[in-house]
Amino acid sequence: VKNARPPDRPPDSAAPDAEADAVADARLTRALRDLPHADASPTFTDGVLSRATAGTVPSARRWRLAYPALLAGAAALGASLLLLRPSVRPLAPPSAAPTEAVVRAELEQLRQLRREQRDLAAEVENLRAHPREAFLPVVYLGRSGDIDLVLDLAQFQHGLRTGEEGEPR
Amino acid sequence: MLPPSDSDLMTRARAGSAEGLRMLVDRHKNPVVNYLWRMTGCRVRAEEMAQESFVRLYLTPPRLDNGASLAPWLFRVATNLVRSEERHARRSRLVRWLFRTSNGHNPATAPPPPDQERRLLAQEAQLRTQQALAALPVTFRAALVLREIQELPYEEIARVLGCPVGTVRSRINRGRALLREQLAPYWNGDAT
Repeated sequence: VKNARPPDRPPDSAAPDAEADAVADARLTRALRDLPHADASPTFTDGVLSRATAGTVPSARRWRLAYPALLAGAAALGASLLLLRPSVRPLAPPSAAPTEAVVRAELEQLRQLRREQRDLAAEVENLRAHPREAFLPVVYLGRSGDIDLVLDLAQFQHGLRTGEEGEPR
Repeated sequence: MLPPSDSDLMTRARAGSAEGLRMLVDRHKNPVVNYLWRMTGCRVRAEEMAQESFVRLYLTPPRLDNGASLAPWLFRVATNLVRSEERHARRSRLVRWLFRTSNGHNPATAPPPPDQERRLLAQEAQLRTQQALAALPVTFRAALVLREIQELPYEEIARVLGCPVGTVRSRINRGRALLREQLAPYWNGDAT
């Protein structure tokens, strides 16, 4: 026959595929429609009215709403630390001795903050790299004079194990 | 006498009428709770989020044309709440993964009595469907639930999701295909 196109795939395979598709589709529709319907609880409307008129938010969301304020606070703190740097304080008297001492103290504070920030970043990096090892069980027993008494349960357990086996340490 | 329209009730609620708000909530609460239940898979969360949707309605009322229904606006707010909740849950999962200590073990459950088997099988089928639904991305899930469970017309779904009708149709088709893929092992008896 002129202009006849060859079929894309064997004619036998197309029909069962379409049929299987239709069956799966019908099954899915039924499964979705079979899901039970829920009605709101009897106290629902009263709950909405009391929350709406009180203008409250659920306690779980309070912290989430507080995040922007906390971030703004942190940004303000960062900005004030930046302003304390001598390079951005053009109005400071150039040779007054007390001011220099203040600037030096502030610089030292700033250095300390940067050190702490570096330490914290390293700690977080370590936690990410070794999440399990970071939580070795340790019990703080208290303080005796100038000494903090800390019991490392992992070592304690190891000691018990070797003790049971009677091996010398 | 015709019942007051949503826009009439909105005007009353905005003027401080608790009765107006009560009638609005009563009119729309069941579809919203049901939609959120299917979207979240958790009845308690669904109620809480539905309540929040209505509180937002009261605090920031939408502009409604005369005779227009409030349902699309409520479904849109509910969908956005689910989106934001899931973003938050993803972050929490990451934090929990970082600070995990040990895997809890699930206690073995006793085998069901034979007379309950049929009911349990039906419940299991519903659970599997709900789980597969919950695993879909919100974009596909919302379109699918609004169409197949809430039985909304395509035009209304397009208004809720803020996209053209063609996009709604394609999201529903894609969602159905993904669901079928996920449920096929269970239907074929390959799932454990």
